[in-house]
Amino acid sequence: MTTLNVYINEGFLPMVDGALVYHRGFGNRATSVKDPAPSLTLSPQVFTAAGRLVPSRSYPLGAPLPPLGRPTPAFTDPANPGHYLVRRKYWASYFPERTLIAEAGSVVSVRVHNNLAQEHELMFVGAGSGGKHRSTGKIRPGRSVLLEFPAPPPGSYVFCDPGKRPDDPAADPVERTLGLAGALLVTNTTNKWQSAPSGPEFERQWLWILHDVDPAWARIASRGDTVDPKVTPAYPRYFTLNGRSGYQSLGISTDLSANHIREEETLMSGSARQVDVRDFSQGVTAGAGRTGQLMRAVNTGIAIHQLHFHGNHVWTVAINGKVLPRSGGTVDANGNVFLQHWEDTVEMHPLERKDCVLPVRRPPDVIDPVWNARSTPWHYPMHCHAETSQVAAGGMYPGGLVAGWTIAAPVAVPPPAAQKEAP
Amino acid sequence: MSEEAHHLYRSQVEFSSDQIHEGSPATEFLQKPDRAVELDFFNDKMTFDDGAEHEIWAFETKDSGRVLPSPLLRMTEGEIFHATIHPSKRVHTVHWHGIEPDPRNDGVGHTSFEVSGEYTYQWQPERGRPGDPNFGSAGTYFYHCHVNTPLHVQMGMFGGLIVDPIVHPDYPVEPGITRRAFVDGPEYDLASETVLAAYAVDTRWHQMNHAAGLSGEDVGLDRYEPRHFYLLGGELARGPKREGPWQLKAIRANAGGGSRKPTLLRLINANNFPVHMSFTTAAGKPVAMAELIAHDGRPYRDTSSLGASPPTGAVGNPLMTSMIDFGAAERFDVLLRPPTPGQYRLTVDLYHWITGAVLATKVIPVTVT
Repeated sequence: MTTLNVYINEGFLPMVDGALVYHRGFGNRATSVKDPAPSLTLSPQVFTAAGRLVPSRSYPLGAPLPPLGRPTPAFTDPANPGHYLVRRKYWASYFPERTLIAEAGSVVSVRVHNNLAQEHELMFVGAGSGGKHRSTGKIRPGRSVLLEFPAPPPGSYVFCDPGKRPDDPAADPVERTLGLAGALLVTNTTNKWQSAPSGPEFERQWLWILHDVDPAWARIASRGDTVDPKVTPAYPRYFTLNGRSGYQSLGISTDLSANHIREEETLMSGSARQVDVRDFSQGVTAGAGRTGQLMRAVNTGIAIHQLHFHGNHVWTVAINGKVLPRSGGTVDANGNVFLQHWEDTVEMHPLERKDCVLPVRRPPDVIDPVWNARSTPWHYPMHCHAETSQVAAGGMYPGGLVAGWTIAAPVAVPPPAAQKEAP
Repeated sequence: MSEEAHHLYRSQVEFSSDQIHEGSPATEFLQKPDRAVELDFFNDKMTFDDGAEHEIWAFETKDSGRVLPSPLLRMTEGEIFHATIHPSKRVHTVHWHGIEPDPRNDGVGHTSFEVSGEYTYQWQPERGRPGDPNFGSAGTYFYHCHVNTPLHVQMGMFGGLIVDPIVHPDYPVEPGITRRAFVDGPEYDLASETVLAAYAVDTRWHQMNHAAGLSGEDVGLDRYEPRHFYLLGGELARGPKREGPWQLKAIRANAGGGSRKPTLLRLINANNFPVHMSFTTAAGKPVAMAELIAHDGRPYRDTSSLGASPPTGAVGNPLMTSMIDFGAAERFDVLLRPPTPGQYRLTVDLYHWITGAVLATKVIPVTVT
């Protein structure tokens, strides 16, 4: 087994408007507060079932990398003009900073070094047996703690510093909001292109980590003082998806390498395909079929966000690691529905995780001549519809929690030689 | 979005202030419409039922008068729909929230263009197919301006949008008396069909100018402190009777067992914050009288079989609840199935997106006959 060293650091990060805001974070190396490039995020790492620790932005390890993050189609779909058959169990997915990946059957092993002047903690929320948390417990300044535990069932999990309330990580959002948060993705090794044994198959997956930045809390913490939300109510002023906001999140900055990374890891994209939501494992040839892409949202922030997709509804398949039923749905005591269903606006409470399939299909309400004449990619926004999150420092719309997705331009690929539907 | 279709920006403020303006862009492949509407922009002061007067920006049609929400638009699946926008002095767009056309007709300034002259949006809601979860756009939506959106939606630039299903021979209706919310959905009573849009006003925002914040100034559009909470809407068969805000005072619902079909309630959250709704007796005891039949314009179905996917209510598993919790921009279609005639209450709480604190509450009587 190999252990990942995690360093709890502090430093200043530039926001989308250039303002430097104090952050704390789980990093890959020890850095000081004055470091011009502090290590405040973990680069993606994979704990394999075979006991290795592999730094990798992509998973499954060794799978082909989709160019600019966008899988190319296998064939035209003879049954659905204008649509394509996509490769099954083929493409790798890219993952953003703050992601840890653990294969089912692996052991998560982290040695956490607290470089700061206060006690801190690294907790994997709900990653223990029976939904209990796995945590280092409080780590005193300058000390290190080893945490090891078997990977929980496949799904997405939040890791964070739960602050004063390790018994209830939702109760104290301060350290998490200062930046001490990320996502653990446990993969299903029986089929690495399926989120869980009962979950949907996907062409590729995308992990979206939502976050909110409160500069007033950051200022207090930077002085070494304690943030008390009763005294200083939360007032987030920057809203991020995978650590970026606004034009940087949309990949349209003059920093071409940063744009490139956004395309690979955040901006969902693929060729049109006709998905049947009753069966995301619809094979047509041995290696190609019809399925969508999986969006896995994890809200490490403090606000309720509303992920609104333009262009396609999404099919919500799992909430907080539980695959939703397809029949016998229920409404819980809080008024939330537990049944797989379509949504165009996905509500994300703090610490909530949801998996949704973006079908990447023809937008249903376009007229035929426009669809048939398309020759360019069609870009659609995805943004939070709690519109207070759509600005940066009180203005500069759309400078907040935004992303987007793209239906690729038509490409010339042949139909499959054999059109017999495979199981 | 990617560099292949957009030019690159050096800063957020450059992006925010450099919008893609086209005065009067052309509609590609303009068809003969089955439904057409002209939407003009207006601004006016409106007095609400709590006595407050707010500056409101909204859309109006030739016949609608100046109402809030902006006039309800309604069409049938398969119809080619045109809406021509005349923004007046400023630039605006119309985004058809939940309707999914091509990007030019999606009405988002940053991925298409903003309109200063006029533009005719064109789309065709997809036809539903009984038992098929993959097709059909019948349902409840809303439309809104997508320019400086936090401000423009808060100012009132939104309206309800309903797509009715095609009538399938296997799922007939009584013309003028009943309808279905989607192609194979349950019949509901047209006379009592009601829309409810939750809307809360932060008066500070209503003092701002059209482009507030776009040049980089901090205008506090991340600080939403609503002091006035309204339930807009009413019975669709009656519509707003006069200009100004159309405010829901009461709900009439049909009791089960008679010849009348159940009442359909269409819920829209036009806030930035979530709402929590509960149905109770007049004494406050929860009553699971709400059957959730659709969400965001799509029916709830049983999709466990590769064959037909019937609506949940049709397979003996209606999603019955006394409570509905939903955030900004979500919609629900709710069939009211009260156990007996009598007086009930719908309580709607507006709550804070971070603290969860209840900021305002409205109680609406529900009379079941």
